[in-house]
Amino acid sequence: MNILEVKDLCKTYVVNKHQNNVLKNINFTIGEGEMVAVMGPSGSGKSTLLYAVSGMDDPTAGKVGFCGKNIAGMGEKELADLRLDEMGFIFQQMYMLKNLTILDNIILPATQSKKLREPRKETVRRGQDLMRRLGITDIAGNDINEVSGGQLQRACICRSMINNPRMIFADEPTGALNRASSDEVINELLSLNRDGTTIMCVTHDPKVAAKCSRVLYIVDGGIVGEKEMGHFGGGDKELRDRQRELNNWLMEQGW
Amino acid sequence: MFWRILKKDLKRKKAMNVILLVFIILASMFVSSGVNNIISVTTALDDYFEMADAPDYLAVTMNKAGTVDVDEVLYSATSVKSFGKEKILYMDSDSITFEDAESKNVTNLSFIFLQSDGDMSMNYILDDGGILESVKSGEFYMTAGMAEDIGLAIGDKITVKLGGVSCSFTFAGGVKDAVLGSKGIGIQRYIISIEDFEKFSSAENVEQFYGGELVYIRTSDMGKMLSEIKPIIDSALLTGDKTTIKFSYIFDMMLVGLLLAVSLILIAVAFVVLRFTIVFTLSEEFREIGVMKAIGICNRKIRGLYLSKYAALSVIGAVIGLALSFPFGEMLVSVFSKSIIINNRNAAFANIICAVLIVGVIMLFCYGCTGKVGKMAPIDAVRNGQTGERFHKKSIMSLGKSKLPETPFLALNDIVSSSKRFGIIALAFFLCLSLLLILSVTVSTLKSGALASVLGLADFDLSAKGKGMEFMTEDGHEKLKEYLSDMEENLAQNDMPARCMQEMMFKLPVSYGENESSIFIYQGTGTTADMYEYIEGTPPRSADEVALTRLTANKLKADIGDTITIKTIDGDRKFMITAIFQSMTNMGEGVRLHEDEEIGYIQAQGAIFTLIKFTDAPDKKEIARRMEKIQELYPELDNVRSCAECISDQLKVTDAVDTIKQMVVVLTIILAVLITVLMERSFIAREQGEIALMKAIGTRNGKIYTHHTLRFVFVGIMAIIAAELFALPLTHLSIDPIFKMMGMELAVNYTISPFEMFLVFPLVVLAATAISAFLTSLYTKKIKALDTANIE
Repeated sequence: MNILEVKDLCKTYVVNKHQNNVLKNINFTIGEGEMVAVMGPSGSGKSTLLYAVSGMDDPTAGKVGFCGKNIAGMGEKELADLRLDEMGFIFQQMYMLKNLTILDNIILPATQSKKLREPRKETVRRGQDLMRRLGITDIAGNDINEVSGGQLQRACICRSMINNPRMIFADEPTGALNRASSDEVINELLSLNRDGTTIMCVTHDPKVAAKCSRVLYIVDGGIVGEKEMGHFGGGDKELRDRQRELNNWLMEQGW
Repeated sequence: MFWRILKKDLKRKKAMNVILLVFIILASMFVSSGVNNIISVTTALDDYFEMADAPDYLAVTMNKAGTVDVDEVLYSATSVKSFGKEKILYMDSDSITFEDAESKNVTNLSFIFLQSDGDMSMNYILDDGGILESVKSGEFYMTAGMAEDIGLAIGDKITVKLGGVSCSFTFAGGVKDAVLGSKGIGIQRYIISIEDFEKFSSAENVEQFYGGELVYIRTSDMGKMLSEIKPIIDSALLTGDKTTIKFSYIFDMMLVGLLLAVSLILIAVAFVVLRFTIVFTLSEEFREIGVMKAIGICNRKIRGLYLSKYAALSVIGAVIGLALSFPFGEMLVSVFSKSIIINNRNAAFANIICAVLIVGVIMLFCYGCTGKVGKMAPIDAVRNGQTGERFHKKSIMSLGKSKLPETPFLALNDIVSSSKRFGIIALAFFLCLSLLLILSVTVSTLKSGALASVLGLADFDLSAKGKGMEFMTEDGHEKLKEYLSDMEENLAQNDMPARCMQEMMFKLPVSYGENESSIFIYQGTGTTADMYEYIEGTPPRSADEVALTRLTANKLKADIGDTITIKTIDGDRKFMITAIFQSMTNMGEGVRLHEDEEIGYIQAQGAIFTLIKFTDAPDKKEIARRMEKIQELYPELDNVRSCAECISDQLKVTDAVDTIKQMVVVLTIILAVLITVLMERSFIAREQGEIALMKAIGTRNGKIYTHHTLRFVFVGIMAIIAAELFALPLTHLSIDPIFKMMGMELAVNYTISPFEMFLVFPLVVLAATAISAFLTSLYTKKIKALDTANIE
C-alpha cells in the first residue's frame, strides 16, 4: 500500500520577475515501510521536493497524496496536525528549542499531540525509551549547547519518532556530521525502518543511499532515474556490494 | 565596501533596525521633554514671581478693621524700597450671581475681592503670556485656575451686587495671579474697569464696610521692614512675605512634583528599554562579527562598522525624538500648570543637549557591547551568533516534571530562562504601574474624607456653607449656639438625629514672651475639644486652655504647659497650651480654643462650615438621602455635601491630581502597548528559527500566538503583583513628604480604592499588554515551517 503518492508535482519560484521552475511534473509513489533516498546534484530540487511532499511547502501544481489524503489542498491547521501526528522531520542542522533540555525538546511534540493524549509521565517514559534506544540517555537533562552534533542529531531523530509517525522525512540528516556520527545516525534510521516506519531521505552520500531500499535521482527538477535496491540486510559485504552497484548506477545518471 | 555592508545590513535587518530606531525616538523624546520639565519646574516659581513682579511682602487690610494710615507708615519706613496699593471691595458668594443656571462652586474660598484695573500694582499674566493692561467696561478678568474650577468660560455673564449697586459683567479671560492665585490661599479676585469699580465704591457706606487694600511692599531688609510696618501688620487681615506666598503654592507644587515623578519615570523607562534593545540587537550581530574576524578584518574596523551603523540610527532617532519632545513636553506641562506659569524658556537648549546626550549614551552602550569583539575568538563569535547564547545553563524548568500544559509551560520557561530580558520588560511595566497606583492611592485618600482630622475638623457626615456673616456680631456665639441647637431639634423631628457644629475663624495677634505673630484661631461650636485629633498632650478642658499646631508652637517658641497671650478687642487673654495638633489648613498654622471660651465673634474673619454628624450611624445611601432632605429643609444652606466631597474640595488639588491620574492611565497604556509591540516584534525577529521549528513539528499557529501572548501576560502579572505590593510603601515615600510640608506630622493613613487598584488598573494594563502582544504575535503567521531549512 502506498503511503505517499505524488502526481504531476510542480514548484515554481519567482525571483525578480524571473520564473524558476524548480520541480517539473514529478510523479512517484512510496509504499509503506519503504526507505527511499533522493539523490541529485546541488540545486537539482531535492530538498524542495522533500518539503513539497511533506506539506512544509505549497506545491505550485500537482497532487500529493499522503495516506490517501491530498495534502496540497489542506489548510494550515490540518497540515499542522498531520505534521504533528503522522510525520516526523529531521533536518541537516540540528534545530531545537534552546530554552529546553534535550528530553523536553524530544517530548514537546507528544505534549501537543491529540492522537496520543497520554499522561505526562508516560510521555517522559517513552521519550526516555527512545533516548535509550539511540544511546543518548545520559544527555537527557543537558542543554542543546552541551552536547555533540551526533548526539543532537540522534535527539532530533527521537523527537521525530515521539508521536509514532507513519513517515519520517529527513533532509541531509548526516550532512553536518562526521563519518562515525553519520554511520550511527543512518543505522538508527535503518533500524526505525525495519520496525515499520517509512522514510524518505534526501542525501548526497552514496553510503547512506546504499542502505535505502530505493533511490530516486533528480536532475533540474525532474526525476531522471529510479533504482530499486531491496532491503538492506546489514552486513559489511552487502553494504559494499550495494554501494558499488549504486555508484555504477549513479555514474550512468551523470553523478 | 563597508558602506555596502552597512547598507545591506540596514535593509536585511529592517525589523530590528526599525524597532531600535523607534526606541531611540521614544528615549530621546522622553528624556528631552523630561529633563526640560525638570529644569522648568524647579525654577518655575521663581520665574513666575519674576514675571509677575511680585512684591516681597503683602498685607491685606480692611477699612472697618483698623484706622492705621498705611501711607504714613510706609513713607516713614526707611526699609521700604517701594510699595503699591490696590483698592479692593470684599464680597461673599452671595454677592455674585452667575447667569448660567448651573451652580458655581465658590464655597471653599476664604475671600472674594472686587478690584479695578486702575491701580494694578503687579503683573497679571494673561493666557497668551501677555500682561493685563486694562479692562473694558462691562467685562471682568479673574484668577485663571479658579475660573476653571467654577466652570467659567469666556463670554459667561455674572451679576455683582454690593451695597445696593448691581452690575452685570462678561467674563473676558483668566489671569495668572502670582500673589493670591494659589489654591492654598483660596482668594478669588474679580478685576473690573475703574469706571465700573467706582460705581460700587462710590455707593454709600460701601468703602467703609466692604473696602480694603492690598498693599504690595518691596524691600531689601525684611527684618527691619517688619518692625517698621508693625502697625499695618497688626491691623491687617492677612499678611505674608514672598516665602509664605510661595509656600501657599504647595498644592500646585504637589502637581509639579508629580510632573517631576512622571518625567523621571519616563526617563528611567526610556533608558532601561533602550539599553536592552541595543544589547539585544548587537547580540544578533555576533555571527557576522565572527565571520569578519575569521576572514581577517581587524577588530577596530569591525567595531567601527557597527558603531557607524548605530551612530546613524541614533542621530536619525534623536533628531526625530527632539522634534517630538517639544509638543510632548508642552502637553505634559499644560496638564500640570493651571495656577502657575511653567516657563519652558530653556526648552530648545535643554532638549538639544538631551538629544545629544542620548546619541552619546547609545554610542557608549554600543562601544561597551562591541568591546567583546576584541576579546572573542572568531569561532566564539560565530557560535554565539548562531545560538544567541552564552555557554551557561538555560533550561531551568522541566516540561517532563511540570504539571502545566505545554503552552503556558513554554511561556513561563522562556521567562525563567531569559530572566534578564523579561525582567527588563517587567521593570518598565512596574515603573509605569507604580506611578499610576501612587496616584490612585493619593486621589482615593484625598477623596475619602479620611483627611478631615488633619484639616482641623471634627468627624462629620455632611457639610454646608453656613451663614457665617450672621454670627460675626457681638452676640454671635450665642446666636450660633441657638442656631445649631434649633437645627439639631429640627433634624431630630425629621428622623435625622444629629450633632450640628460650626467652626469660626479669627486672625488675631498671639504672643509668647517676645515672640508675636498674627495667627489663625479656630473655635468650634457644637463640638467639644476632645473631638479633634491631637499629636501630643491632652485636649483643652477649660476656657483658658488652647491647643497649637506644631508650626505655631515653633513660631512662638512655645510648648505644652506654656501660657500664650491672644490680643482680642476685649483685651489681652491668657491661655495655657495643653496640646499640639496637626492641621493642613492655612499651611499648618493655627490655635484651637476651647468651646467654652467666650471670644467676641465680631472679630471673626469667617465661618468654615456647618457640619452635621448623624448620631444614629446611617449608611452611605441613607446619608445621601438625608443630604437631599436637609437641602430641602434649609434652602438657605449652600452646597450640602458629604464629608468626602467637602474634604476633597478643601484640599483643592484633588481634581487636578485626578486629571493627572487619568493622563498617567493613558500614558501607561501607551507605554505598555509600545513596549510590548516593539519587544514582541524584536523577539519574533530573533526567534524566527524556533517559531519555524515549532511549526515544522506540528505546532498550530494558535498555540504559537498563545505562547507569545502568555509570556507578556505573565510578565505583566509579575509587574502588577510587585507594583501592588510596593504601592503603599512607595506612596508613603513619595507623597508623605508633600503632606508633611503642608503641616501633617503623623503618617497619612492612605485610603485605597480596591476596585480601581486591584481590578481596573491591573486589568487595563494587562489587557493592553495582552492585546498588543497577541496582535503582534499574529506576525508569526508569516513564518513558515519551511523556514526551518533556511535559518541563518
